[in-house]
Amino acid sequence: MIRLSSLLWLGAAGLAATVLFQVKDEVQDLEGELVGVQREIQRDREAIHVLKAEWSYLNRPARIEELARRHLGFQPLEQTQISLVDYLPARPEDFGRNAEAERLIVPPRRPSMPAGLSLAATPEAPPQPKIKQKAKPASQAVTAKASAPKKAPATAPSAVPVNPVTGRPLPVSSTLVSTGAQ
Amino acid sequence: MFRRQSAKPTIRPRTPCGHDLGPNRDWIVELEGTAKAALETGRTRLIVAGLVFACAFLVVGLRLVGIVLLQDVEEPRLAATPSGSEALETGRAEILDRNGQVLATTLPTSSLYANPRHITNPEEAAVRLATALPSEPKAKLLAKLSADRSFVWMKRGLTPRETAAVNRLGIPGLYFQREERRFYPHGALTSHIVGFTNIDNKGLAGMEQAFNPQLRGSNQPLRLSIDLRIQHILSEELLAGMQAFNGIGAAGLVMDARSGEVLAMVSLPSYDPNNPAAAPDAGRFNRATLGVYEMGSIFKIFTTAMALDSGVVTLEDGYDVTKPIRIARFTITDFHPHRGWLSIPEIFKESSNIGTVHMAVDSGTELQKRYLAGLGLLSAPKLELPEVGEPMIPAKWREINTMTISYGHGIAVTPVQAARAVAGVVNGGVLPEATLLKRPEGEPLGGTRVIGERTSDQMRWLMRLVVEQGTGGNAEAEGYLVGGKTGTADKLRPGGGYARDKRIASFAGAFPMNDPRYVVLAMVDEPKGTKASYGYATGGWVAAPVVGKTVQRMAPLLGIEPAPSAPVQNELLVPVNLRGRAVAAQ
Repeated sequence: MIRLSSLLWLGAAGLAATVLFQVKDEVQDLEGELVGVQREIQRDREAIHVLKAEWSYLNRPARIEELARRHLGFQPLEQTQISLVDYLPARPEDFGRNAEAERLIVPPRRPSMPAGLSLAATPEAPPQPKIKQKAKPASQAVTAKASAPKKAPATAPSAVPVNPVTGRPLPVSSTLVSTGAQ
Repeated sequence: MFRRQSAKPTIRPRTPCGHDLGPNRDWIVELEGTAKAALETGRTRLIVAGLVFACAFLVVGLRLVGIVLLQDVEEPRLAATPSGSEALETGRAEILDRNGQVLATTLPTSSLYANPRHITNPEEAAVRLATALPSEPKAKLLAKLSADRSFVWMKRGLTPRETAAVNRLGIPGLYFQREERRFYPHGALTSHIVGFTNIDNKGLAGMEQAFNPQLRGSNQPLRLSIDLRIQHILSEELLAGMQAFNGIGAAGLVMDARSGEVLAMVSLPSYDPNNPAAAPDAGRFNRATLGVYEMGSIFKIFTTAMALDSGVVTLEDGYDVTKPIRIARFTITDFHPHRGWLSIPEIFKESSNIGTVHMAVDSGTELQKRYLAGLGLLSAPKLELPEVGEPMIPAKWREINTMTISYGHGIAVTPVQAARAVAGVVNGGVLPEATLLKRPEGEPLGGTRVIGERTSDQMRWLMRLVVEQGTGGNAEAEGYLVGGKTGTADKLRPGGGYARDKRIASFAGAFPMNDPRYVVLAMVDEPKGTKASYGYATGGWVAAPVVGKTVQRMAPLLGIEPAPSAPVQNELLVPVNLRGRAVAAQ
């Protein structure tokens, strides 16, 4: 009896030892691999770090400008190249639907504001245009008189500008597009 | 129970009750007294120890079961890497611009050192080493290699090619030390802001010095408020302006009018921070923050703002500017003399010294001091850089000082102070704190109110007038409603008094004037008149075009909507009652 159980235990121990040895061996291999991968990661990180510096160096504005001038013929964006989507002429299918649509003409030289549109309606500006406040300093009646004709062409401040074609209000500052980009 | 068998029954044991147990029987010894107590203690100890060990084994067993059979939640699925963060750990953090472009970074390099005691033949080693390091003189190498020490730096920060060459020589006694070296990809473009470090990566100037502990302590990059593109534009335009008028130096600033963030700051001549030792002292000097200058007529912005804000004058008032003002031994005249009365807008537009002095005198010295102090012009500005100049103000503020300071003479401030004060005047009257660090998104804008909102409106209109009709016409950038004020100040002669031929031409502007977003200041030191400028070297000829061109180029980058001029101009119009006199604004 004693013999048999001893043999059994011995066999179990031997089995455990073998399995343990194999697992340990495997772990050692994996650890070696891990160290290698980690070293590689570190190397890659270093390379990325250096490449980032090089990227920044190659992106010197002076260099980009020179390259753009030489190869692309680019030049700084000018004010005349910027307009609003809502200043585009009406689409053909809108003709007839809105009488005003036909009257809207493409600005001759540069995009300009349609009549009745004022920067005073810019969303970020307060409802009462700030700068106008100085138009009514203190007392003088002369002031008011003098200011009246000047204000007139500028705006009808309370009227929200409306796209004559679609009939929806013009978003004044949000829809900036560069015509060059289209 | 404690039993013991004995082979020699020489005594007759008795039970505790006195029964004779007989001679030849197995007998039980019942111990009494101290012996029994000792045994009992021993037994108890054994039981306790056994229990402790049983518990310990139980814990170990349970833990084993837990580890082997049950999934441990806290066990990481992946083995830990040496550093958890994504970026490479370096000894000094990066410095970035507001868009994330690298302005300063740390690159790994190797440095060569020698143990001269291990070098058998210094002469031969020096000759061979000189072939690998052509930049080092042979004699210097030999001297180092024959030193009686066990450590000497041969060369630090070798290029990879040099490293390979030295390795190929295979000279024993030479060793490489892995080191880190600071590198500035944009070189001279940002040198006055970023600064530089010494070979041991200690910050010696600029933000490198100001944030030395933070940069060394963490891997977190430092994000500046600088926009590299704007910096480039300003630097290029300033350089062009300086060269066109043969100036000896120039400074310029672009500041966010609301938050006080400095988007660009240029001081010319500049230097290469990758090789700071080669820079002349003139190049190292930061004119934008360390230099203090008499800004000239730019101060009329502050004088006029003060007079309007305190109610001393209104836009409808005016002064007789026919007669020069004589006080003590000075005579204050106008650059372009006028006859008769000028309205306040005209005085500002034509940059009349006489009119401005009248305004300042009517306001009084105390008021002037209070307003200038409020605008931060009398004390050193709070800026992160270590190179910040203290303004030069008169020790005793007499009436003559009040007069000259009103048009920017007799007080010297740094350009950054002037730009900040202009920002405070045009942005609605709240003076922002100047900063070189990017403000976190959504952080409330601080600042102190210095003038009323209405005064700020009026000043904006006046400054727009200067560009539209006055001395600053060259600053016009179509569609962006630039407004500003020119300034031309004679420089002080070393012996005292003013030099007539040496001056500082400046322009302080902001745009767009209906809702100012950015303040642009340009200043050229000692410009000389050219044929193209008809011999003039004033702010309007020298500095105003720099600002105009800078705005023209930077505004589209910053997403500023170009405004068709007419409606906004009408908005900016202020009617003036001149009681029959000439009118500035038609």
